[in-house]
Amino acid sequence: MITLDEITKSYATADIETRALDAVSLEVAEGEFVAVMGPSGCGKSTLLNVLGLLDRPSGGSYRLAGIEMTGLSPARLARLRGEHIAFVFQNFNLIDDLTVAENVEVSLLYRHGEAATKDRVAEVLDQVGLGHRAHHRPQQLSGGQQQRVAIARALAGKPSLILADEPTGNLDSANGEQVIELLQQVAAAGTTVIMVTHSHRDAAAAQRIVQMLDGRIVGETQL
Amino acid sequence: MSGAIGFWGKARHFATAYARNLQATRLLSAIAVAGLAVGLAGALMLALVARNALSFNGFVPDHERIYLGISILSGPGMVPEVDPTSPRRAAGLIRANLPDVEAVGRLSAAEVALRRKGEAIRTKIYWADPEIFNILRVPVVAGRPQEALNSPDGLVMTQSEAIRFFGRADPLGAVIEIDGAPMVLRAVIADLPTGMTDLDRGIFASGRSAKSDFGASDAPGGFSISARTYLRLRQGASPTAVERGLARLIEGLVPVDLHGQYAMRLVPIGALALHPGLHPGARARLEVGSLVAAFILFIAVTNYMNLSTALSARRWREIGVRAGCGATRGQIARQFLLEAVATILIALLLSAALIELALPSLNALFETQATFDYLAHPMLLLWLFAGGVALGLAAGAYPAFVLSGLSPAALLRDRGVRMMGRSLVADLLVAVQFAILIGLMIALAVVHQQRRFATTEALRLNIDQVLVVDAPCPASFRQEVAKLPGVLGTSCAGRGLLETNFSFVPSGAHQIPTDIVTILPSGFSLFGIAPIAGSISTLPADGEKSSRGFIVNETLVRRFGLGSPKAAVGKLLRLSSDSSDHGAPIVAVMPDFSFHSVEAAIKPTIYFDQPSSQGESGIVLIKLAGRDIPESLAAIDRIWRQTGQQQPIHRQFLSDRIEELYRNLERNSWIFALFSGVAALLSATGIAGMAIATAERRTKEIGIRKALGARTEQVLTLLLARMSRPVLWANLIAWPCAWWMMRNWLNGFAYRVPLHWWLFPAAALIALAITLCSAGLQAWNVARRRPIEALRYE
Repeated sequence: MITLDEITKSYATADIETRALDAVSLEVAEGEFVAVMGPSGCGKSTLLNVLGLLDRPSGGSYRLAGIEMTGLSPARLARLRGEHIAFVFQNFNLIDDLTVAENVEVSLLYRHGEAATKDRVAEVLDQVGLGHRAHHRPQQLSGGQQQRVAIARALAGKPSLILADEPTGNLDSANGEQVIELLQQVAAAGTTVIMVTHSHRDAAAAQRIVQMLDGRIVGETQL
Repeated sequence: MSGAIGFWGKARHFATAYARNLQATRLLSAIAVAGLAVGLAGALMLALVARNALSFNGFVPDHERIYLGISILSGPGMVPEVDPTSPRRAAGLIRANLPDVEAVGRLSAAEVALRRKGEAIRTKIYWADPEIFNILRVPVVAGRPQEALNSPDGLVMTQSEAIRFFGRADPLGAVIEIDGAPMVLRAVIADLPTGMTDLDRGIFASGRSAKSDFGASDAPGGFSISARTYLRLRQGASPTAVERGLARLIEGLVPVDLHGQYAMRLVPIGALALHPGLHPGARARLEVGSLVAAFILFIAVTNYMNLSTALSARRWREIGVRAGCGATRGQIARQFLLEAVATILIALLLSAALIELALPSLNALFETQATFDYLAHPMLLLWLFAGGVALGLAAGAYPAFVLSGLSPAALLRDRGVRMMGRSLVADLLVAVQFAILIGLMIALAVVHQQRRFATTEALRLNIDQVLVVDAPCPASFRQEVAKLPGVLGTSCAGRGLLETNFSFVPSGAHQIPTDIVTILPSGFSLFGIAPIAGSISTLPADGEKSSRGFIVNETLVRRFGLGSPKAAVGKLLRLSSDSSDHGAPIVAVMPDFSFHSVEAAIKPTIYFDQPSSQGESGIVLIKLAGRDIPESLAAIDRIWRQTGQQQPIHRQFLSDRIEELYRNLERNSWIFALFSGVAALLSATGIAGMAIATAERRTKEIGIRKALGARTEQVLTLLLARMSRPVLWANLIAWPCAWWMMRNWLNGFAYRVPLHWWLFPAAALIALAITLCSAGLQAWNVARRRPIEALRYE
């Protein structure tokens, strides 16, 4: 599903160059649930940005579903992102002005593949247990519910890859568990999930843990 | 319910997102939309006024082929004098000799006594050739105007004049006396649209009447240019060729000493309103208006751009999410562009309502009849829509470009606000806005100062409480009025005192255009003027036999090379190069003064002491004490009737007459005042928007500063200083531009105020005050936040 080969990412200012990713190589299979761990500033989020096509690597090769991503135009990357990738963030990233259903709908607006349907929105909201909250605004929901809306939004487009950046970071343990369970179900259904986390308990729910330090992968644990 | 999210589904989604965003930011969105609406309304109204001016006389069929023959008098060292009239006899010559002219007809302006059923009033009319309505084919209400003036007693009126005199619109056959001669109303024409025609009166009496001046011949050696001559050229005829033929024709009419100095030119009637000689300042006013309209539109649009960019700062998460969900930069930019177009169209609707409300006032200010009749002109609606879309795309381009260019990776990690840092472009836009505001304020102050100067100091005489009665100095009336307790003095003068009436006076080998004015010696003391050399006491007292001594002004002494004013006294002055004119001595030199516009330099002037020169109608000057004015005026009216004056009294305060001269300036003053106000309002909203954006962006910084011990006042000063920076930059643009423009404007006046240096910092201070007031509240709210709130923010 994903093949990273010697991926580097550098940020340069006038005086210094910071290497956020340093020759990262990684393979992730379809339907695999991978947790990425490491201290703050080790490059986890940069890795997620590169995997999510939000950022371009400075060097190396990134193949997603057999397609080489480096060198593609921004428009093509955006299109691939819309069709194959979805995100779940620590801060939920819901649009305050839109209702729950409308927030989920956003992920269907930019798809070029199969025709998205309105009942898909209802379906995924039911899947995360929030069908009855479709017309509420995000501010009217608890943190756990907001994150479930974010997961519903991620699922709506039937992506092949979900990238989750500390999805339980803003949640209490009960809500956190619910979110991890949802991600496990998604992975079990065949969607690849890569999750960045600081929580060993959350990471334990994955099939593999990748350890990062100073922009490098320093260890992997198969669970 | 199932179904694809097709075009309409997406449209609904984006419309919802747009509407909810407007709702969430209703106050600032309202400010942005209202600012745009005001700016658009101002710009559109000025555009409508300009369109009106550019379609002058457009209601006359074939106006493209109709010309007015105007006169241009020029001479060495003189600004050319342009007059809309031409020699009376020119029309006959044209008719007989220029085959390219299809029709020619004249109008001659006159003020006559109109009497109906024993009641007489003085009113302004035109004596008109029968052909005139064959040339100016205006809409007809009743009768046949083309034939109405064939008989000497024929009369044509506009509808409102007919109603005014006869109580109905079509009283054909009704009789009214003009200067004692009965005239029969034979046709009624539609009212001439105010401001759209050069004709300023609605009564047209047959020029074949014995009372008309068409039949009068010029005095020997004289040269009268008193008729408005209209020509309709044949299809395809060249006006230049006709003008050349005209020059040959009128050569015989022009006195030899004016050859090379007088020219008759053709001006299309559509171009009369903006002719620089006939309407000095009209083109400039239109240009100023257009420039101000462009400025206002610029401020409104840049304001919107800044405000919408600031408001969009709250949408960083939405942008990030959309990008994360696969939206390309183009798709995000399109969304914001469409939102901008929608906002502009909303503002356009509001501006239409504002135009409906304000256009009548603006028409009154510009003396135009601009209309906003979009129902009758669907193309106007289409143009407005197209203009709105284009403007929306232009206004939305900047926020769309900025917002769509943000990195989604950073936006999705809550770094959106920090990323939407204050851009140089936004600062520059605010600086240009304020530069315009500062420029407009400087212009307003200069125009106001010049207007005050023109109506007070530049006159160099005291016109306070001086009443002018149109009459050739009836002795009994003057004596009785002088006895009234509220009257300080009386005098008489010719109308040349108030109206241009110049002759070419020989000075060596040259002919110098010189104003010839008749005024009794008492007139000078009435205005509080004393000679700077010589004496007027040597002249006979008022009422005695007039002398042949001349009183001249300083300019004449200079232009005629007579040395100092003192040296000029006693020198002989001749009015014509005729050898029979032995001239008369200069008895006194007066300081320069003028009742004409300060746009023109004071000409050399000769003052006769006769109450009225030959053929010149006169005025009685009455200086009132300034108390019990209504009673004094009533007593003057009573004396007028009691002393057996045949005509109704026509009186006016001299100050009102002077004010009329400066209506251009007055209007310019108003334009600048009005639109400076609008610009100030818009700029204030722009700064308020900037304040909000700055506060949002610097919340964390403020938290850190406060946590480290900064006091609220220090933070407030920091914020206000940051917001004031582009306003201070604005002066770098505004000062040189305003200095250059206003210096050029003032140079158009022969007598002008200096361009005071302090106006510039004063305007800058006002702009700064507007900034501090509009940004202060927001800055204060942010500055007094507890540090913990600010630090928790991120």
